[in-house]
Amino acid sequence: MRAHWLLATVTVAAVLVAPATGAQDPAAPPDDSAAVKAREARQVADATPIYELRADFTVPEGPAFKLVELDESAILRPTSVRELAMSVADFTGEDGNISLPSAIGLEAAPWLLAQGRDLTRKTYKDRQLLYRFRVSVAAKLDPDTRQPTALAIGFRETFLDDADVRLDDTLEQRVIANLLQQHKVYAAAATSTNPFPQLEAGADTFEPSHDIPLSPDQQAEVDRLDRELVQAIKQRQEETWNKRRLELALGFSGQSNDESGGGLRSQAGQVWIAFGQPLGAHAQWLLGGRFSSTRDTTGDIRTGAAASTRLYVGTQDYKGFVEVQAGYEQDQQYTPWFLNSGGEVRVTNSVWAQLSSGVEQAAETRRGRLTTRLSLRTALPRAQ
Amino acid sequence: MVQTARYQPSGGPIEVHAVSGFMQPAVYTLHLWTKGEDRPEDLGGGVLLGGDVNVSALPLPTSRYAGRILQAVVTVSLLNGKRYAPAIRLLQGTREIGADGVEKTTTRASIGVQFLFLLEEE
Repeated sequence: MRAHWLLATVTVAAVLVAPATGAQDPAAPPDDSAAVKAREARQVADATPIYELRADFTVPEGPAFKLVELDESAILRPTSVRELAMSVADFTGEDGNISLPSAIGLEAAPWLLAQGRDLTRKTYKDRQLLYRFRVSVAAKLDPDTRQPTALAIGFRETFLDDADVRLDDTLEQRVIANLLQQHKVYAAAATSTNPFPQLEAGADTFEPSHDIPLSPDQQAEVDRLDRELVQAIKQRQEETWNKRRLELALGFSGQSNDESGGGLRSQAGQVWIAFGQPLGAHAQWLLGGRFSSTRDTTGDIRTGAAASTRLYVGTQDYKGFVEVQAGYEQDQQYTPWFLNSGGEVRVTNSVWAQLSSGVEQAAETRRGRLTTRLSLRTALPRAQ
Repeated sequence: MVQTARYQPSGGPIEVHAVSGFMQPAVYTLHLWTKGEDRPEDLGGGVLLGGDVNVSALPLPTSRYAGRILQAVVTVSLLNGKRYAPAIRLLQGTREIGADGVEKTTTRASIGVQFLFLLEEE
């Protein structure tokens, strides 16, 4: 039964972020049968391309979300910058059953969003720290009232990213190799008719479209090459998901004293550092640290720190992980520790599901307690 | 729409400045049409990467462009999102004599676009 809930939840999320179809297309072919063929070919192409193409290689996870999610792990997973990303999590209630998500988060790269059309690779490369800087906000919702009981804001900087798609020469070369073939088709179609007769027939009214009409055969060839392009990019994703990354992040959260969401006051501040290193072609080793300052129930501020290491093994779409963590808590005699393992599945090109289960030692008088977490991450449709 | 580009016959070579916005990789070629011909004369082209402007000087003597149509065909890959914005500018020296561009969205992985310029002497 629980598996059905999981499948349904994941499916709904996938549908919500599925690409719209029917945007700009070349003009319709001249006769009805040709038009039908072209339309069918276009529908096939429209069913996959752009979201398949997006070279987003790892799960987005913002620091603000990490705070409200109350994640035990000290690792804030490093990811390549993207304009917008969203996370929802905590699908498991206190009784362990699937429930509505109680944590949502949004992360944006403001300079990357603002620059848009005129951004060049050189500018991006020269000001990487600026464009990779990200701001995130997140809210923890009360499971009954759905009111926010905790809010957080976070900031993240990527100092090293060997998988940054904007600086990936190899990917660019593969794309261009495909584009050169596609261009032959478009150029042949565009230069099949001399524009002068149309121009002379109505100099004032001749307004050829910028779009290039394709014959059904040409459309089919372009669609075939589009699919090859998608495969080339997927191959590149597979090659780079575990590349080196180094990130620093910090976040602050406030917590409400009542269920209505009122009376918010500062509750925690945390700093994360994370480094990712490839181990062969199918594994990645992460090393992370967290420094925290938290207000406890009596109003006192307590500091803590934790170091964690995590090993991912798998592919871009399917991977498993194991994690070990140890820490320090101010004024506590015990050493908090955390053992965790789980799996991650790429449901669609923009949606990841992560399920983990572990044992946490968080208080001196208690034995290790079992933790289970199911979360979804998604990239929002891009504004550009 | 056909853009009319008026140039000075003795004003030096005409340059084509091509760019693909949003850092979308693109390929372009230039074709020169003469009235009554079945096929255009191919004038080369280039690759557009990283949002940088690609400049190519038209190879024929300037006097040979009068009354002809320059067609630029651009094929764009939607590698960085669904928006694309190829643009072509014609310059003679530092003076812009013609410009055209589009900014659209598509769910396709790639798209072809064309620009037409009627070249006339001033």
